[in-house]
Amino acid sequence: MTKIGILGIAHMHGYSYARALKGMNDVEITGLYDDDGYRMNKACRDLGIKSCEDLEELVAGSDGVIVTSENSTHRKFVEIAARKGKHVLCEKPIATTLEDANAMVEICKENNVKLQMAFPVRYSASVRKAKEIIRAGFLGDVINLVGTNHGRMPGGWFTDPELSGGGAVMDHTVHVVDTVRWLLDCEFTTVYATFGTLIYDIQVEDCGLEMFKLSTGQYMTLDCSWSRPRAHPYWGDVTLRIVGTKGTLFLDIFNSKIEVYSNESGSSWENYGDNLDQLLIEEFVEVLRSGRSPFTIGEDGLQALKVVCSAYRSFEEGTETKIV
Amino acid sequence: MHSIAILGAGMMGNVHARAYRAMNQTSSLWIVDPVASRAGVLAETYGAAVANFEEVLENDGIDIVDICTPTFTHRDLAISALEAGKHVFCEKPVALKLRDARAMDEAAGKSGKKFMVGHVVRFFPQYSAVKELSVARNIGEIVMARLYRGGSFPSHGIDNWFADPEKSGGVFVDLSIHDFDFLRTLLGPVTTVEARSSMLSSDKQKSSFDHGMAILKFESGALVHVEGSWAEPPGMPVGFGTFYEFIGTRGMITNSYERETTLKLQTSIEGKPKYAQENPAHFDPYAAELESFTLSVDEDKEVPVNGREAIESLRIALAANLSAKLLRPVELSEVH
Ligand SMILES: NC(=O)c1ccc[n+]([C@@H]2O[C@H](COP(=O)([O-])OP(=O)(O)OC[C@H]3O[C@@H](n4cnc5c(N)ncnc54)[C@H](O)[C@@H]3O)[C@@H](O)[C@H]2O)c1
Repeated sequence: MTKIGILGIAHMHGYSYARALKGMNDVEITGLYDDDGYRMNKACRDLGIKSCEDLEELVAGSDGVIVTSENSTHRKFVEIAARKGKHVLCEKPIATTLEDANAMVEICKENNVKLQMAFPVRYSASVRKAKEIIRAGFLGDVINLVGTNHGRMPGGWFTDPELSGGGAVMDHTVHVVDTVRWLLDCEFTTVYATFGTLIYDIQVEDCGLEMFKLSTGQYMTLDCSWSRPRAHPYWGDVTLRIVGTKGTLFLDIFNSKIEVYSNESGSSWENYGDNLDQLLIEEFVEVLRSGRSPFTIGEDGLQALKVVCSAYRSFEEGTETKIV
Repeated sequence: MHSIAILGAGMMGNVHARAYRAMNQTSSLWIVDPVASRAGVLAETYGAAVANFEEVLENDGIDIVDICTPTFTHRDLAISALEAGKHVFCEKPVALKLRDARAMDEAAGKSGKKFMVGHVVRFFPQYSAVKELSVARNIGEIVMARLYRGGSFPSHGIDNWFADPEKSGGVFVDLSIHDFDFLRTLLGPVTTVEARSSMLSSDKQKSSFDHGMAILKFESGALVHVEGSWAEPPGMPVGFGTFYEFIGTRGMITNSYERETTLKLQTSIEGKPKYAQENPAHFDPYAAELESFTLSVDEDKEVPVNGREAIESLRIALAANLSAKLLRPVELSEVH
């Protein structure tokens, strides 16, 4: 039996991960802890899992933990788990500051625990196939990339800079950055970012556009905006156009959709593609059982956060900035 | 009734000739092209008379000159025609340099004749509807947008002139200028452009190929991403397409050429597969554009797209080129 505890349920992905765990054989959810007792009890009722007031005890009784608390509290929970020698699956972005992210990667290394990052997009079969296509030379030399990660404005703590570390740029830069780092075996070297609070009356940015240079020579833009209106039938997208000298490739990761039109509840799209959260969780369980390294690691989270922090610096300076 | 001389019997010359004929079966049409066979075919197809440019300038019966030649020839042809007292319609981009475009606009001012530039996207129904829809459906102020326009490289150009950035200006100046112009009409002036293009920014270049990405900031605060592509391989089933999404404060408007098609064909004739995906329509935006021009001449009123507007749209494209070359954001005020 593999025992997994959930630390923090601020992020809605926590619900999705818990459901994935519940569908697996020989996996036990040891319980859920959240600093916010109301939120903890509600999630435990919704998910049918045990609430745990005693964080230390929950961690001690688990083989590994999933951290889906607010961005700025990831570090606290990861440190507790690492000190007890427990492996961690951490929600993205890894943290809100590089100091926190470095400390998290460090403490996991010191305590010999695996730190897996929740970058589900990299687990997509389309992304894997894209890598094979690029490797086989079907695109020739890759020259430019154009990415989007659109979403709805999530509200709640996501718009509280203390807890989230920022808005759309913090929330929606890392998925595509991580995917491209893996696809092209590259790092992001410079960024120019421009953004604004253009749609909603909130304390963080809701729209952003970024221009990157990659260590392998390509240029790339990314639209990380919370620009999907509530009326849109789907939450958003992750897309990537890869332009090479011999051809182009377009990825639209969540486009396996069923369109539903209901007189009662309006129009909505349902995804019938692989459940990427499920794949991410299966990987974590496999890591716990085998002790091997995860596919998406803390270092990946740190590199992606460097891009985000540099994007904020670029915006302040109004110029292109080196990613450090 | 107008007497119209078309300069250039290439792709656009044929599009314009067809549009004039659809508008008016009997108006007199002239065609000028140094390649006699091209002029001949167009003359035959649309019932036009072949002439050379000097004859056109001297013929007082011809009141309109319509320039459909490669961009690097626009300036001299337009100025000569205006000085000879002709009304001039000129295909976009107006010219390759602001200085040339200004000289054309000044010649138009001096002559008192009409001068219009072919920013035809304003006449495409899926674009002209955006403003109206955003108001009628209460989408709110448009604060963000993404536009794509592209396909395979335009290899039809005579002597492959599109491949030479000195002659076509590259993908921003030749192609994305459509979107730059449309965006200006919708969102007002641009302040900053950050752009890259494979022709100007990349060290892995390839001839007859370009792909550009531009991030625009508008005075209004709006942020826009424009992508222009001549990067699709030749011979693809879908050779050209457009896409847009406009984000308002209370909703969004989006359209995609690939999604929204009314006709799909898959067939195989004698072992040769053929595939088509189209959106045929009776309405011809080019005819609407040219009709708006002749109407401006007839009623002596301002043309829908004048020289000053074309200059401003060109300025954005040139800012994108400058940014792509210098690898840094460029203020529009840096482009004179
Ligand atoms: N509005 C649009 O949608 C659109 C689309 C394509 C091209 N264009 C523009 O239209 C113009 C023409 O492009 P095209 O694709 O038709 O090019 P093309 O190469 O197909 O045709 C150009 C023709 O002009 C002729 N020509 C060259 N110099 C001439 C001169 N001095 N006098 C008369 N004829 C001359 C050439 O022989 C050739 O036949 C360009 O400015 C281009 O940017 C606009």
